[in-house]
Amino acid sequence: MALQSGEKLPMFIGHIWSKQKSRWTLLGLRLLAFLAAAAATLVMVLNKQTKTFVVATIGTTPVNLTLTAKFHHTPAFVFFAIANGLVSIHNLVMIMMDLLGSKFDYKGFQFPMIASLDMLNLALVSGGANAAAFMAELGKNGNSHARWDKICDKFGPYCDRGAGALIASFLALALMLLISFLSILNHKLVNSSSHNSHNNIIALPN
Amino acid sequence: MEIKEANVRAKAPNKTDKFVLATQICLRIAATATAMAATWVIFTANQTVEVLGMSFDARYSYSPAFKFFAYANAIAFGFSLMSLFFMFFARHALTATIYFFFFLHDLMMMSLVLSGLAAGTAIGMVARDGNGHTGWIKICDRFEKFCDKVTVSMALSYVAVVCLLVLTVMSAGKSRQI
Repeated sequence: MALQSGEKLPMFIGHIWSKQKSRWTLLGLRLLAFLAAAAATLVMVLNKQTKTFVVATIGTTPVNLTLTAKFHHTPAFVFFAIANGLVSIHNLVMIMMDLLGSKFDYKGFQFPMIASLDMLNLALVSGGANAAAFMAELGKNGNSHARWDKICDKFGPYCDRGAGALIASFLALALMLLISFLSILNHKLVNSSSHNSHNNIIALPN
Repeated sequence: MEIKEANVRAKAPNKTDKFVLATQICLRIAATATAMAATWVIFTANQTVEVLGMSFDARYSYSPAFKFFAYANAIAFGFSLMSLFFMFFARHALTATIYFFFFLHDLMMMSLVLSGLAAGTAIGMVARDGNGHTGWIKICDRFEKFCDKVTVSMALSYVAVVCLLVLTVMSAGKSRQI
């Protein structure tokens, strides 16, 4: 049974949470998550810096060495870009489905698909953001035990832009967590009002 | 409406319910066991190598990524053990609300372990293959035993993540039905 808009629910949350308000809240959160993930992808993919070092001086002419830092030199950043791209596509598809989906009839199949896809994409963006975060930490601090030098003192703007992409991705991760939680909560609220679920107990024989 | 409520309350537990509950408990045991194994292996993975009179050693605490991976697995083991005991002892009185809290727990744990895995995998790849562009040399040809143990620990952690993912989807499904 669908919930009428504005009807008060007897839940532990204890405030008025109508179906229309929850739908628009979820849609707004998905839009924010899409924007954050897309921003993270774009900033990481376009992240590049070229720098010329003077290595030696022969006579009076300096010997220059040009080094470029690109995102695809590091596998973790490639994974980060792909993961955030996929998550932004997922959120876009979910928004489209929410706005235009009432034309298609797939009610029984809808919930497992949305829940599973949301959780898979949460896992994906979590993996991408954390892998890139620890690679960035390694680039910023180096590792004295493994004799790996830091690179952020030489390529400052590259590291700064990477940090911006990471912040956007962590924002997308927090939003995806919230979206997963709210999406299950909404399904629970919509279905519980007709069954009075907090009184039901499935009893198994001893 | 009263007749409908009475019918729902008096629903006899069928084989499907028992099968789902048994699957949940088995998956929780699997997730707890693999998380514990991964934690144990990474905490005891260390190796000392002598080169030219100087000794170099490798342990998990020398890298922030491996430290995060170890602590994430330890926390996931603790919470999974608690949830296993809770589900086992409360198995006759599981409502939809309790399944919702199981869903939240499984979601958090899966996210945490996956974050640790991603960090460990990223740094592990640098350790195993090096990075020619930044001048980072690989260390796994010197510290073979250490690298093998870290690989084993991560493989176990991947199994734990898959179990937790299936648990999350199952808990979400059960939390809306009843």
